Amino acid sequence: MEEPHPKPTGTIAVLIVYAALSLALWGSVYLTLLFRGSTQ
Amino acid sequence: MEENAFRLEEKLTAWQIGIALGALFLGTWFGPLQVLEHAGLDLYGKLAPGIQSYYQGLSLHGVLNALVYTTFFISGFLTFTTVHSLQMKLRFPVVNVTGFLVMALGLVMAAIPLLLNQATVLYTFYPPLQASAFFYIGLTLVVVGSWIEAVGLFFTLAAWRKTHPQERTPFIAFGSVLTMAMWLIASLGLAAEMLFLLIPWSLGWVKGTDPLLGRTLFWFTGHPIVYFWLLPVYVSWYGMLPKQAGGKLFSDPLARLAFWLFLVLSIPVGLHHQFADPGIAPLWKGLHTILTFGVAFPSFMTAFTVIASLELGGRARGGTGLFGWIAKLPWSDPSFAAQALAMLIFAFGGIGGIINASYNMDLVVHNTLWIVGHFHLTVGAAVALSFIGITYWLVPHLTGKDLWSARAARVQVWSFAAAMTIFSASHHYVGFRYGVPRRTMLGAAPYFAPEWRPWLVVAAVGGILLWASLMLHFVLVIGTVFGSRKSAARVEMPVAEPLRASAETPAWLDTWVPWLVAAIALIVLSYGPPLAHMIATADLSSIGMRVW
Amino acid sequence: MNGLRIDSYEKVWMLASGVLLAVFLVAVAASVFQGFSLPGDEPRLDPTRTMVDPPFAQPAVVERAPGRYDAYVRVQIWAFVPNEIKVPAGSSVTFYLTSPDVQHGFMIERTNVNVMVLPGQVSKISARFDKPGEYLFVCHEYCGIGHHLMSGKVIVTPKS
Repeated sequence: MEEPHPKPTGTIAVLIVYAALSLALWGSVYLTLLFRGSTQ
Repeated sequence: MEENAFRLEEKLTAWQIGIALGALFLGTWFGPLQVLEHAGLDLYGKLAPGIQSYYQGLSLHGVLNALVYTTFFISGFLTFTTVHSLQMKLRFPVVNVTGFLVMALGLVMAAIPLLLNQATVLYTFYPPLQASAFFYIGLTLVVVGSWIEAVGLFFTLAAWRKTHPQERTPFIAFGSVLTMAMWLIASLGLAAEMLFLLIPWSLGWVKGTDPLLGRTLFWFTGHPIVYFWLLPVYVSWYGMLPKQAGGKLFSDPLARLAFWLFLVLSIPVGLHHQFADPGIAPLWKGLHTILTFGVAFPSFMTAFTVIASLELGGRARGGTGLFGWIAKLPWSDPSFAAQALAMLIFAFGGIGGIINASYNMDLVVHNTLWIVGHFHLTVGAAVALSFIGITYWLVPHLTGKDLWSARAARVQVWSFAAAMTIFSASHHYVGFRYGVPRRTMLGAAPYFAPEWRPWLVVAAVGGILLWASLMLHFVLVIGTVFGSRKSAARVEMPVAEPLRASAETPAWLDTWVPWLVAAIALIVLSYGPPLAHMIATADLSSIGMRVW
Repeated sequence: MNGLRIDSYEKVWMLASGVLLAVFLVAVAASVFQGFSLPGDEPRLDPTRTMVDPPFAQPAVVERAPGRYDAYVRVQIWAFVPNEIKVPAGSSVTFYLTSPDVQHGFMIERTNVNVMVLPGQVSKISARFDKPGEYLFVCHEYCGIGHHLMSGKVIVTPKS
């Protein structure tokens, strides 16, 4: 039996912020790669 | 069990944690020296002839902090966690003690050439730069000693399973033993590099070596070693911290699944440290990229399960709304605060790691100070700050004394987190924006650009504050060990209870063989062909050079 | 998964993080097809003959076609040979690098040229230089006491 507990809404909220941050930071490095030019 | 049932085990733990902290103490002093040199103040002349160069200091800093502190702390901690979690003494104590003595011998053997400037090869010791043979032999003994201790823990778990046939392995012991099993497989690359390349070569039995093969065997171990560092932290975050936070482990089965995924996915990924290397076909670099993204997944799982476990605690303590539970967590407990801050900092280390692992995106940041910023967030904060948090209950437990000052410990923890943020952010920025190289005595570089200086001065502030915070940590540990305030009641290892009893966790999450087979199969698939090709075409003609 | 009960919120997160990782992988793959490649597997050299065998015995910049250059650079303790590479704006340069002694690095600022240089191996990578100016390159892998002295530049002259 699982103990009754409140839903992890705070966790999801924190992780949404984290996912957005990850996307932004990853994206900025990706754009930098593109901006600095092809290597072939 | 009565008070001193684990006397031998705790002595073994105390010795290893003591050596770990000693190594960290010595290694930390080079941090301020490095950041000050980068910012324009070279103090290395004052250290001669004890320390001959920036690079010798950097070698000591890396070996002591990233290899010695970690390996000894982990061996000590996991010995403690395994026996306490199983409530069972070591099956063959002589095995674990022997392992420890071999590690200690190896440490001394490697330390001497390091201190004599005969191993100024940094903690990655890439050939054909060649250190004294004793450096390589010493490090090999440290690894072999850790294997022997691992085997001692395996025997102990096996004995427990024999006497508890239908029960789930207690989570803390499970995670601890899995960490050692993963490490044993992972360290085979380094062992091969030492036994087949570096030791015969440095002893003069073989004239030359193959640098690419050396690097590849190193990084076979070099990536999973970070999980050897991280999984003990996860054992605490999953298995202990929820209890400290007044919550429960949100999901026992998912916690175990994450660990199994680490066993399977930690090792077949090492080529992501060699994206910029010649001599390796893009196909293999690409495969390792996909597998690296695979190993990111159990860390994402961990983020949810651990945060949700803490949220249960925060809400149990009266927190309401989307974020109110955060403030209600036990921030006054320095052990909790350290690990919660470590988690927050690790979030950024994780994002950076995914960026570094994104195949060609590594070209933007490889070997710049961004990488230095990255690994200080991960091993320097996520791991070290969590280990610091653990010592704030473990040292009181081992000594039977109260923590010397909880208030000072809170100051230490928060100053560490702030300092690491300053240090790491400035390094990330200056590496990304200007491509400032790592592993370089920048203050003496003729190409030093004035735009770099303000950021390196900020980094120096962070680095010096980090040193000060660590000195306070050592004061706290010593103060506790030699303090006079005996604890009224001995602080016990926190053990989190799961929301659903672990007896309900399916048996396939407590069965070793299939997971071990999967781990080995993936290693063979991802490393077999490129290593076979490298070995078949190996050219052992690079002679050793000692050019420092 | 036999008997594995997962909270619905946790399921959502596991799916979302999987999607995030997949998006990143697809973006990376797309860039690879656009020519953003890593150094690959070039034929090996005999490291003991790097100083005597062409092309690295006399490393130089060679114009293959108008605006297309091959730059051979020998990276050694503690210098780049040559340490100045001069091309007109709009040129594409393919760099070939090796070392006669220990490991080194080669990174040109404001470009994606960022490679390791190893004895016996050839590091091949290209860049296009559209803007005139000077582009610093440095060694970023520890190679001994003079490591921090190693630098050079690509000098991009204005199109005449």
